[in-house]
Amino acid sequence: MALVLDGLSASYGNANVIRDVSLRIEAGEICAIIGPNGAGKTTTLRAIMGYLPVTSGAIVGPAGVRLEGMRPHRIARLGIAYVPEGRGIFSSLTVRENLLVGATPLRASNPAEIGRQLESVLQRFPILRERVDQHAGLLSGGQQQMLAIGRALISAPQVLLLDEPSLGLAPIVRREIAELLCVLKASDDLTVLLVEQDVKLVQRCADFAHVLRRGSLLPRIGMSELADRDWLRDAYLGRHDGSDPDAR
Amino acid sequence: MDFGIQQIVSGLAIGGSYSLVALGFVLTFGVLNILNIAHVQTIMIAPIALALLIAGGLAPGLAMPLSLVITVAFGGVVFVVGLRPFLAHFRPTSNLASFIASFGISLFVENLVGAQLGSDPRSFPIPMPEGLWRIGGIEVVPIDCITLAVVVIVLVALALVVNRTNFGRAMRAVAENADVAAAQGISVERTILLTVLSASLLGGISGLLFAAESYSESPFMGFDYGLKGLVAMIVGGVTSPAGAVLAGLLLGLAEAATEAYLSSTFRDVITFGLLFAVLILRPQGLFVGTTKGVRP
Repeated sequence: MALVLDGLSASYGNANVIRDVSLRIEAGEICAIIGPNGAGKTTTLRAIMGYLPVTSGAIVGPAGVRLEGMRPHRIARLGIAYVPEGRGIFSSLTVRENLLVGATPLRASNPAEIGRQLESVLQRFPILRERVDQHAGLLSGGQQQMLAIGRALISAPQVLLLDEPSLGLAPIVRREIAELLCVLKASDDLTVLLVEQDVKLVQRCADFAHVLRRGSLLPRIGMSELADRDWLRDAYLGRHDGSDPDAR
Repeated sequence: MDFGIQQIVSGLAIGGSYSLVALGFVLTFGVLNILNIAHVQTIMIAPIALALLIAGGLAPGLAMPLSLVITVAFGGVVFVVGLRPFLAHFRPTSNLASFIASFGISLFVENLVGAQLGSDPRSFPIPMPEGLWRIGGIEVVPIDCITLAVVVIVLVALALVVNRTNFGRAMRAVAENADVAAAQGISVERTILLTVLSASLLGGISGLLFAAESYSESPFMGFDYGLKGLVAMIVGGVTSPAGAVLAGLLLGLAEAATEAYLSSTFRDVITFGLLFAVLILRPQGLFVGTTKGVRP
């Protein structure tokens, strides 16, 4: 098992944003969290990554390590990579420098690997190799997304947290991202927790999904429920609690 | 003609020293997002420490590096004990409060040292070469040459560190987006501390250069020179290291020209006149807009 959330609750100050969130992802699986805006999807990822205090519950990472209370840079060094909403690339650094910064966790564990990993990322994303010494701020949105994902992958993480990778990107780029995720699922042992609004993208590559609605996570669903638009709409709007796939 | 060249060399030398102070401000502001006024005291601590070490019998060759070590340690301690706890508590709500706190710490240090050692200026403890040196057919003041050489070496070393090392990349990443930098495995707290230590080293080196050039030092010299460095930082564009260097040199040259062709009483007028002109006419700084990349 690669990532388990057990009754996780987290808050911003006094406002409890997510309540009693539980999910379980096995190694090599892709789990998607979908839901309306403001549901708490980004908050869930940020809570896992240690940016906000956990008010109750547990986060268990690879090798059974408990993550609550840990600072973000420690969690990153444990093999959990985070690609934030809006990509979060360093505009004033070059593509190469962005990737080298992403390799920071390797520096402690396996510095000899950095060169090899950099080469591997550039091979996977040829557009990055083309622009490797350009400032990242000059890249297009889609290229920046590839850079953000490449930067996350360079440290050979065990878990990848992706926050709305398709946001603001053209359909063709969204397809590329979906294909990339499928390739990652097939080739590496990489476990992915994907927050997305684009249900089609989720359908292409996820193993299962959860709907997050107003801070509460509904039970997991498969791709067939996702295909049922009416069911999904009702789940988003709170007309059912998601436990019965046949509910209308 | 010779006189003009001497003035240029002198202006570049003092300007280069201002640049070092300005760079200390720029680096710290980048990672901390506040102006750390306590930084100006590193300018004072180095020459004071040097004087005490030499008075205690230590050879100048050992006393100088040791005075810089003491300055770096001082900068670190003041930050960890004085400023960082304050920042942790107040930063979410007010950058101004943090700035005022750093100002208060600066005054406290200055007056503490002044109370302990006496507030009168004393002379720089190491004799400087007298007369003029002849270099390439030009006569120049020795301390100006030494200062220029030191400044060039320090700037080259700093550029290498900032652009080619892991620490330099971490510093730039934290300056741009500390949250995302943390997600890459960078310890933001450690990066900030190392940046403060680096800035303290720059301040200490500039302090030794200032004290050697004016052949005097005092517990209150921090603010005098530090303010010039702050002006250079603002004129250069606040966040731009290259801007800070260019603005520092510009300031030095302007001061040298004023002293030579007007009067030394106008020297500070020129400094602040330049600051006001830039803030009114081009507030983003003279040299911002020439940096590459896009800041979000």
